[in-house]
Amino acid sequence: MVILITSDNVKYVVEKDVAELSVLVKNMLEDIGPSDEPIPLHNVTSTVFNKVLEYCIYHRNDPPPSDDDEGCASPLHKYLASHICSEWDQRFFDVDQALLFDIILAANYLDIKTLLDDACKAVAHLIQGKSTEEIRGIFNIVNDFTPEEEARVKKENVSS
Amino acid sequence: MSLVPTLSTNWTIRFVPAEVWRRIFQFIASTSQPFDPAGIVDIIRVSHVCSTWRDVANNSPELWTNVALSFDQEGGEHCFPNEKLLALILGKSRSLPLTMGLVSTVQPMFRSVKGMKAVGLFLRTTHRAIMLKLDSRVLDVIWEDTDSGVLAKSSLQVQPALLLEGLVLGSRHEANDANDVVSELWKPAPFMRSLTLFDDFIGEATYYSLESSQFPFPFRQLTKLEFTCRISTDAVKAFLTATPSLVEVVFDLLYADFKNYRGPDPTELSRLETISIYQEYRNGEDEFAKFLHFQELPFMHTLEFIKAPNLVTLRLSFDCGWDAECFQKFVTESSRQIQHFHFDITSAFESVLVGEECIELLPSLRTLDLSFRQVGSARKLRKRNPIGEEFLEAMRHWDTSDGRFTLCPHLEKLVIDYGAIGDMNSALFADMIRERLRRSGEGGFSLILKEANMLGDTPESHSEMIRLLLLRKSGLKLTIEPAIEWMEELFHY
Repeated sequence: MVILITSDNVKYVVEKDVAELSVLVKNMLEDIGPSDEPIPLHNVTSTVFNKVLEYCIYHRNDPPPSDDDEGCASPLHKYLASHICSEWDQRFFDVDQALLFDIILAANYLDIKTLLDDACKAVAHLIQGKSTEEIRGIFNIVNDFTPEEEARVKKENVSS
Repeated sequence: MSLVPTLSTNWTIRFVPAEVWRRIFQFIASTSQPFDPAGIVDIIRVSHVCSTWRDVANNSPELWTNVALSFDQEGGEHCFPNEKLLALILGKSRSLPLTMGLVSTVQPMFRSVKGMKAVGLFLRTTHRAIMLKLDSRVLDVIWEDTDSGVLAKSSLQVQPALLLEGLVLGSRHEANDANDVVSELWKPAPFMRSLTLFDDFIGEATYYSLESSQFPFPFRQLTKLEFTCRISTDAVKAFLTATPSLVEVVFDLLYADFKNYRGPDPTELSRLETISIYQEYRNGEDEFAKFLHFQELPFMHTLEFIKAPNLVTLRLSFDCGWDAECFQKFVTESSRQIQHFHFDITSAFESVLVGEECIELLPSLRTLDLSFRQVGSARKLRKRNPIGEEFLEAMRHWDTSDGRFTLCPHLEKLVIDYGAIGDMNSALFADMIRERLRRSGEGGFSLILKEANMLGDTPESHSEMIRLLLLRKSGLKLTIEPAIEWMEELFHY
C-alpha cells in the first residue's frame, strides 16, 4: 500500500499497482525506496484526486499504452485510436468543464498518460464541428487577437 | 474544501500547458477519416479562437498533414480549400509527409480558374504524399478543360511521389493523356506497396491504362491490392498476373463478359497470405456493367482465380452465393493451413459451417470470426438463421481417440455476435466455451462477444453472460463489445 496526501491534506491509502499508474508517483517510490512515508501531491486537491483514483482503479488491469500514436501510426490507426472510448469512460468524463480541465491538469502533473489522453479526447469532442465563435462561447475564451492578427485570421476564412 | 471546481472554467484553462493543447488538437485532427477535409476545417477554426491556441496550432505541423482538396458543393464548381488556403495549410505543415486526397462527391466542373489553380498546387505537392487518393473524375474533367484553354497543360505538373506508400485511385476506363501526367507519380515511387482502386467498375482497360502510361505502373512492387468496386474477370487476371509480390488482396463483386468468358484461369501467388472478399452494400442497379454486357459472377467464384499455397487468412463476407464445391477446390489446391477464417455468409450459415464442406477442411484454424460485417437486409436474414445447437455441439465435441477437438482442434480465438447465437438461455454456448478453455494450451482461449448491446433484460439472458464473465477468473480472455457497464463493474472490483 502507498500513502498519498493531496494539496488539501486528505490522506489516501492506495494499492501500489494503482498508485504506480502515475509515473510521478512510481518514480518517487523508486527514489525513496521501501518506506511508509506519505507522498505529497502538491498540485492535486482531494475533489480531483477522487476522480483520478476512480479512473486508475477501473483501468488498473489495462495493457500499457502503446507509443504507436506518437508518430509512426497510419492515418487510419490514428483515426480509430481517436474514437475508441468505452461507455464507462464517456460517463466518467461527463462532468462540468472546470472539473474536466482539473482532471487534465492532474493527469499531466501525475503523468498518467491514458487518463490525460482520454480527457484530451473528451475536450476534443467538445470542440469538433463547432465554429470559432461557438468554441469561444463553450470555453469562455476572449478573442485577444491584435488588429493585424485579426486581419490575417479573416483571410483564412474556411467558408471562402 | 477544494477551491478549484468553484472557480470559472476560464481560470482553469489558463493553466493548461501548450503541450496539452497540442495533444487535444491532435485528437481533433485525427478524428476525421483520411482524405476527409473535415479535420483540417476544425484545426483552422481552432487556430482562430485566441492567440494562445493559434500559436500552438501554427507551431504543430503534424496538425496540418491531412490535406484533402474536395469538390463537394453543388455543381462541383467550387473546391475546398481554395488555392490560397491550400498554400497556407501546406506551409503550416512545413516539410512533414502528407496524407493527400483529391476527391469529389459530385461531378466536378472546372470552369473556374480558381479551382484549377488549387488542383495545380495540389498536384505539384504530391512529392510529399505518403498516402494519396486521386478521383479519376476530377482528373478527367481537369484534362478536358486544359484542352479548352481554361488553363495551360504546362501548369498541371505532377511531382514524383518519392515517399508514397499507398495510392487510392479512381479507376480509369480508358487510356488518355491524363494518365501520362498522373504516371509521373510513380517515376519512381520506390516505397509504394499498396494500390486501392475505386469507382463504378474496373475492366481490363483499367489495367492497360496504368500499364501503358508514359511511366508504367510498378505493379511488381505491390504487396497489397484492393478493389473496392466491381471488377471484370479479365481485369482480375491482368492485375494478379502483374503482381507476384502480393501479400494481401481484397475483392468486391466479380463480373464476367459472358460472350467471351472461358472460365477461371487461376494465378499462383506464392507470397499471398490474406484474401478478403467483401460485398459492399449498394443502392440501385449496376448500370455501367449492364451497359458493357457484363454479368455478375457468384462471389465464391473469385476464389477460382487464385492459388495461394501460403494463405494464412481468409475473409468471406456476402449474403448469398455459397458454393461448397468451389470452396473445397480452392482449399485443396491452395492451402489447408489457413489459420484465420472470417465466415460471414448469410445463405450458408450453421449447417454449412459445421458440415464437411467448410471449417472441417481447415484443420489449422486458430481464429474463427463469425461476426457480422454486412448491412441491410442480409443482417435481418442472419437473425433468422442463427448459430444454434448443431454448431455448439460440434465445436464442443472432444474426440477421445485422437485426444483433441473434432472441429478446429487448434482454435485459440472465437469472435461472434451476441445476436447470432440462437438461444443464449440453453447454456450450450457457455458450456462449449468452458470446454474449449479447459482443454486449451498455455495460450488459453479468447472470446470476443460483439453486439452485446442486444442482451435482453431477462434474468436468463444475464445468467449466461455472467457464466462467461465468471470464466474470466479461470483464464478466459473475454472481450464484450460494447462493454456492459454494470456487469463489467460487478466483475471488475
